[in-house]
Amino acid sequence: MHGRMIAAAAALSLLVLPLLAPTAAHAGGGSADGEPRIATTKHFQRVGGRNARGVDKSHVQRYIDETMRTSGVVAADQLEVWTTNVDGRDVSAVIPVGSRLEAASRVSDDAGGTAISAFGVEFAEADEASGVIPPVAHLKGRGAPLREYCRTIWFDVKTLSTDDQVYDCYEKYKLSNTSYIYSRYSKGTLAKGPSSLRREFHEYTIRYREYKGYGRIISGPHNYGPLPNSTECGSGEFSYGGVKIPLTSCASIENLAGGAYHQTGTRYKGHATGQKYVDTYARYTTNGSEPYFSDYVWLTIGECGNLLIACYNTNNDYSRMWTDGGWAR
Amino acid sequence: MRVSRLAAATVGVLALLVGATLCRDALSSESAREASDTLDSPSCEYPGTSLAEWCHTIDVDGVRIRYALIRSGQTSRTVVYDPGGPGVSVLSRNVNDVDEVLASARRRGLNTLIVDEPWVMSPYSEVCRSALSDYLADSVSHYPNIAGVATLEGLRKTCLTLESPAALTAAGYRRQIEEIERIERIHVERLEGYSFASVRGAYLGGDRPDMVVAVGTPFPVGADAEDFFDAVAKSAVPGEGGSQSWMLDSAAAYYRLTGLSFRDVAPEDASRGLWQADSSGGLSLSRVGYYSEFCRALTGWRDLARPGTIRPQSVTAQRSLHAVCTQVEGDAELALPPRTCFAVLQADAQTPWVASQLTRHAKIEWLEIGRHGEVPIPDCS
Repeated sequence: MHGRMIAAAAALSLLVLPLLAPTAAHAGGGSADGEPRIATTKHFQRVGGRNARGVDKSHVQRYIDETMRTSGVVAADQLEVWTTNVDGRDVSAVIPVGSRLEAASRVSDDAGGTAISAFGVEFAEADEASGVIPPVAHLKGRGAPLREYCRTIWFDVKTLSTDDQVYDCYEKYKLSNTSYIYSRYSKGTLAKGPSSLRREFHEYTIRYREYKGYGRIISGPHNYGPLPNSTECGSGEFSYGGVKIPLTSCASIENLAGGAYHQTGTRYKGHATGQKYVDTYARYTTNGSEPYFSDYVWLTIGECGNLLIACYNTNNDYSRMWTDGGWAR
Repeated sequence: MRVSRLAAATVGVLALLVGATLCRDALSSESAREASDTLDSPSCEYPGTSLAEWCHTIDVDGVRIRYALIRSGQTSRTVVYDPGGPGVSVLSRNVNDVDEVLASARRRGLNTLIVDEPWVMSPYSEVCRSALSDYLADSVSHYPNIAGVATLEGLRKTCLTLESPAALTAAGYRRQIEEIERIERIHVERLEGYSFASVRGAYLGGDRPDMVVAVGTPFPVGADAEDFFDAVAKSAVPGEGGSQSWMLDSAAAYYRLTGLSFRDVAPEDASRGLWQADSSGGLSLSRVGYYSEFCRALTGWRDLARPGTIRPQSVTAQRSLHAVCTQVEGDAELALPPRTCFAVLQADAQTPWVASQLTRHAKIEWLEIGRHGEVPIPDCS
């Protein structure tokens, strides 16, 4: 059964301490021991969407409602809630049945009057997951995805009544039996704090690579992006073979195409507040079978006390290394 | 082998729908109460829009809608860009070629206005949710005949009234545009887009004789429903058979309208895609938006209950899908302005063109090659 688990994995995390340690320039405001604190777990509680209670139930209902209002349909019995606690913080994800949350990680740090809390998650999906079905209407053509699905992840914010949230989606387009486009878009929403607290995105990374155990991709990523200052960023759209993918924001991004296992992705670094979108896409040539990907989400959040001035950004690559699940080999 | 699996799946879908109907009443009150406490209020942030930078919300006659206005300098001159519909949130990743659209407007010194359908921000009442589920269950159980009269009437009287906040009418659309014009201090002088944009153009045309409407592969606004479905039947793909089952026929219609196949999307999922039904037998609130506009964009719905001559299976499914339109009158307020230009495909399998009194003065450019929604919008200058 597990042999059929595929795709999306994502990783999160961590772990190479030298990379995570603050630089000398940051050390003055570092945490008590001068090192970021890192924790990872692969243990989750899992409950069917229809049986969810309390906060979990509200997360399922929100997922269903948001899917509907973006022109999709999904029922509670197609969803599961996966929860865990990492480093004393609750992590909760609503994902489609057949998918797995393989790992969750958290890094905490403190520098220059800014408290850093970074979360990451890794997904693995089953090939049976059919995804949300594109709607039928009398519309401008955009190409219908072969599969599309979203995942919502909630990260506990101890000091606030609401959580930080990520709404992470993928779309897979089939151009031919040997040519596919894989696109992801992700929306992060920071919990609102009191008027005296500034909360901002220091990093928001999404990336993907072929899932472990699969060797279906022959070449790629091709036509990957978005690339800063590219035509696609200027036009707000990636277009290829009749598929048109809207892009939301190219500001302060870095493209992560390259590396092993046909990886690509997008990393945002900056000081965005409130809500932040990230997009990534690429085309792949396969051996005639549908490719499956490991999906990774990383979010680094800074908190400081001056609403009008950006927080001190440690600029630490907390997400730089990962070793978990489908991501690692 | 495949057929027997599909047959079993059909039985499963039926059982699910019946079960869902039986259980719904017991569960619905608690669910609705909790949902209303926990769901976010729809806004420019929820559900997300790729045009958030330009998104605004506005209350018009007690109904909240959202729109994106992309200005071009200080001008008040504005073009409404409408990629089509109905039943789709165009601001939620369904606006493509944004730069092309905006650049075209800027070259002409025009602001661009894109309006989301009202259902995207509307509450989903339990009575409406229930009526839509009943409609689906009845449509499945009666198939290939259409849902029963009482069910259809129940749906029309609950959430498909013209007063429903999720419904869109010609009068409602006109009010929305007028209010946006007032608040933003703009003036809409053109409406451009694709497919169902022809209907939105007809919402405005009566009050704005100087406006320009330019649409690629237009929906045949004002056509007779029987004529429309006859045209759909005539353009059926070769090899499409007669009715087999609700699921297989609905899937055939889905494949036809999307260009996908059973190799891409399983028939169980494709059939739900056509109806926008979830796996528990619920229907999306988007169907209120869809039916409120689709039913009134055509005329002559009275014959849908007529026993069938043999029709292609995808057409039988579409008749079942639109059964609630039976006896709905076409919108008498529809009118296209004198300067209306359509680019029409001679063979359009998805949305075949059918001329009508309403479109008799439109300037039509006939196209031999192309796909629905993928042809240039006519200049209409």
